[in-house]
Amino acid sequence: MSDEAEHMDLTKELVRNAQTGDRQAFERLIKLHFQRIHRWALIGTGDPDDADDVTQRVLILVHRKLRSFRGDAGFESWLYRITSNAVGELFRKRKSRRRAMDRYEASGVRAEITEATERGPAERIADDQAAGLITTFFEGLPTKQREVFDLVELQGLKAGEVAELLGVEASTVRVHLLRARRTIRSKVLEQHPEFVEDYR
Amino acid sequence: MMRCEIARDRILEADPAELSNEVTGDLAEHIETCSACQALAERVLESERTLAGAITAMEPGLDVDAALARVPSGRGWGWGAVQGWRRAGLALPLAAAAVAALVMLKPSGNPGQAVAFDPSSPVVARALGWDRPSPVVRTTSHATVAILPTENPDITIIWFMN
Amino acid sequence: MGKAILCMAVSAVLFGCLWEREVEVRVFELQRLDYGEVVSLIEPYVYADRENNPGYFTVTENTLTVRELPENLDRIAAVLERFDTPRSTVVLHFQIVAANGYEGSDPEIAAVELELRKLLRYQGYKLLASTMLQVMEGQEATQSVLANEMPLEIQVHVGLVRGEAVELQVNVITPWDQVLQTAVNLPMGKTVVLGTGRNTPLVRGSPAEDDGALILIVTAEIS
Repeated sequence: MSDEAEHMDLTKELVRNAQTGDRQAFERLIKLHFQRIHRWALIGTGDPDDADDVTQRVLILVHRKLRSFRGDAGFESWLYRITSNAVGELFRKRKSRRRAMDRYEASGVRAEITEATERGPAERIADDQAAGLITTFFEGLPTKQREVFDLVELQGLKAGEVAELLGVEASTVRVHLLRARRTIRSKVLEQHPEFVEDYR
Repeated sequence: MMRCEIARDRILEADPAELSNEVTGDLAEHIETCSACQALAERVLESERTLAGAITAMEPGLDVDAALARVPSGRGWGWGAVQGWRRAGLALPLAAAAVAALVMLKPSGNPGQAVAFDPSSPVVARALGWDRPSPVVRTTSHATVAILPTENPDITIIWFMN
Repeated sequence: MGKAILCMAVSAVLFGCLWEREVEVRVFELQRLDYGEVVSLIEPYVYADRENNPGYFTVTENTLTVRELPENLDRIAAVLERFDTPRSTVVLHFQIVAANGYEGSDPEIAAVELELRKLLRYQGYKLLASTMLQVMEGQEATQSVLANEMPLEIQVHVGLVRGEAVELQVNVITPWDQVLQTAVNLPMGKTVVLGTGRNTPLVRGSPAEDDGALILIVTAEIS
């Protein structure tokens, strides 16, 4: 049996047991998928700290909702949707917090506002070139393109698998992938004008 | 023979297998014969490897065991530290049987008639796991928590210290 | 003689068929009990090992389907009617208090302030806002309030009432920060006081102009 098939069988068994309230099964299930959840959260938020928060939230949501998982879609697909919604929830809260802050500032009430300096992912990478790519990846790509590029190009999943995971058509995956590639690779070209000048 | 301008544009969207000559095709042929486009293709592949490595390096600051510790045990956001009714072993089925006995043995000619016993009775509470002690607070943050008893039995103070 | 035996055999078969009772399938909609609770309550009435027409049941998110003899189905119905009661509305009272160099006392928080003063060294306590939420068990709600002219959001998820208490997940969010995030087990009619000593802008307008604390007082009751 292939690794993937074994992984799926184990997941199914753990889900079944966890749904009856077996805590150990739940914890094993989470450990099996933890890195994946965090990766999706990181790609979705673009920030490791936010990814940690989202991941924690996802664990709690999975625990709450696992009994309602009926298995008509795959477990990973279900897990992905929870993660994606948690990312969306984080951004919505942040937007409403921003609006509230604007209202507060506009109200003229004096207050000292201290905002934590946000360190983006690029600031954590020492290498300039890598930093440039990271910035392009997280800030230059729309979320869907980023997700597809990560899953297909960087993690090696097939377009069909990604389509199933994201709940879209394979052709849609392909479109996102090509656009993402063009954006990222154009950045590489910018960093290497010597390859372009020959053509002028 | 493909022109370099066209090849360069194709490189921007090509599958990595084409760029690394793992599959044949007109782009792969051009890359094989053109050193500039070959260097560009290699650079693109190397950059994607660098990007993959950089993302992987952003490993979770969150430890999975610490994260799991913050997930309440029991029935979702339900009650207590129950680890599934199976964990109760024999106790739960026996308790459930006791509940059943209370229902069935109650003298009543009509099996459909509800038995009026107290849902907070110890037998029922044991059957449903409602009698297990529950934690007062579960924090999902990194805070240190102090539960401060007061002289007023109706008031509990919970203080988060960061 | 042969005919008599044949008649008796046929009669026995017919009689036997009459004795084989019919099982029925009944579907119950679940209000509050989860899978584990349902199974522990109804399993004694489902005879999966009966030779002819064994019983069985399945539980999905909020449906229980049982195949059993009618009298056992009636017993199950009685048990569910008793324990699987409809979800109630929980009424939550929130008071947002700032602790710092305030003068005077607020009668509305007198009982809590009395206990706080025994434990903590803040000079004074000021009630900034009060609000009430009515939330069905198992549901979430969000309320925005103005506290010291600052917008503040209280998010709460109400669990299912178990026995005499309910578990709440509470988040308190200011425009800059999530100042409080916790789950608390709250007995009905009792008060829990959630405090954080983290310095928040909420209390910086206070007279003493030094570090203060944000306190959320929560009381729950069934509607």
